[in-house]
Amino acid sequence: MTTIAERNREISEAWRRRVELPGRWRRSSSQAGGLLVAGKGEAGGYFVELDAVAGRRAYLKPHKRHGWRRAAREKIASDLAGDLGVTVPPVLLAVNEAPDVERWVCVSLLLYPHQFSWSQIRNFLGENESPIVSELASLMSAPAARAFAFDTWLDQTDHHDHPSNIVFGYEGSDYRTGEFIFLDYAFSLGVSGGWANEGYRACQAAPFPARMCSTLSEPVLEETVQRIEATSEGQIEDVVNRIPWQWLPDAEKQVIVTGLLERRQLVRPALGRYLRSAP
Amino acid sequence: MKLSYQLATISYCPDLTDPNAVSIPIAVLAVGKASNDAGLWSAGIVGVDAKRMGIDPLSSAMLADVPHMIRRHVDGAMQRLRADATPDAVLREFHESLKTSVHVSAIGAVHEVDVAEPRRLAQVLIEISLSTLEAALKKLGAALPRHGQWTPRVPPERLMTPAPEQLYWQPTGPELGAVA
Repeated sequence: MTTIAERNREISEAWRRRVELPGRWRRSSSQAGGLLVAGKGEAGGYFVELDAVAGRRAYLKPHKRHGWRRAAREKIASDLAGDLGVTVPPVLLAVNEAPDVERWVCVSLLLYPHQFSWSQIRNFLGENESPIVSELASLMSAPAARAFAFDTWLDQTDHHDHPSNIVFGYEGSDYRTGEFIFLDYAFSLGVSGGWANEGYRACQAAPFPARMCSTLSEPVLEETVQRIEATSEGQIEDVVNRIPWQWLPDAEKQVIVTGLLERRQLVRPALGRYLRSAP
Repeated sequence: MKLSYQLATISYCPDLTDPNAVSIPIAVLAVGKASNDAGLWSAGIVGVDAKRMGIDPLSSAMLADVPHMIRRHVDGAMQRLRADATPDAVLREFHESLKTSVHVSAIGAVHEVDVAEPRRLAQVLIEISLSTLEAALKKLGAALPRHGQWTPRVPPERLMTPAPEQLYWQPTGPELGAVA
């Protein structure tokens, strides 16, 4: 029998090859675990069911209209993350025909039956003497290192100690097979004009949870930085330029491509103090 | 005096991937503000003991932390928010911070109730929270275990006047999962 983790890998590979959602989506009858109302600064969204993946929920976002191209950013980040082994859910672009809401949206697969927010995990790690604490901490160092380097490359500013943009997910009762998952890349890739006029050159270590920074795996961080540096121009252009213009205008694509290309070599100096072999 | 209050129901979803998933209410937080000159705040929290729900060890540990988490949030919100903030502001902020398996599944409308004296505020909120939790469980065909007792879970840590009360149902009978 296929486990959810194995099925997730299959879906991730299939969605990496695609750009837009095939088939229809519909609002899920269950909204368990989502927001009742989007707060200030939140894009809003809701759980949906997809023809493409029966029996699973995905999250459709954004709901609010804006000019930040959140859906395109989510798709680009998810595709690049998949290539680097960073745990970001698979994403496909979708259209929302409803009036008065954002039309150019995306769907992000909900990965595991059990997912607990970073705010809960962080407090548990800090205040509990349970043997689970050390097991969770050991599961954190490698994925955190990958995501830290990745966030620095993409200029992701929304992970810091955000209560719910990082989750720990698993299936069944064995949390030891679970993984830390990094969500919400809407505030990345020079959102809101941050990379215009060569603003991408300002590359600093991404804001990241202090608890995670204290347990980063140095070899994994080094390996991920090397993989970012080795990401080819063609790969970056393909991931960005295949986004249809409705989700991302051509002018903005060019800024994102240039930013990603240039920042490949800026990640290492930005993470210097976390890397043993840093210059 | 009038007590203006709102309730948030905190629930646990056993399978977030399931399009037909149903969440189980595990706690109710009531936040109220009195209409007297001091504008006294109070909070009441009731919940189900996670240890008896027959769930995996990490979920159980996360659920066991819920009363502490609620308490931290209420304490923090009381310090952070302006004096003229409403119970709604406290609950909305809480709701935004709690998604995924443990989440705020409902925020009720504002209600008012007459309370004879300030020291009764927390008790009134506890009683309202309890009846709300029981009603939410009943809707799912579940109920709190019949045998058990209400016990304080988290002692007051910082001054709030009056201090928030938290009572947790300590079942001595069948697991909640068995009746859900």
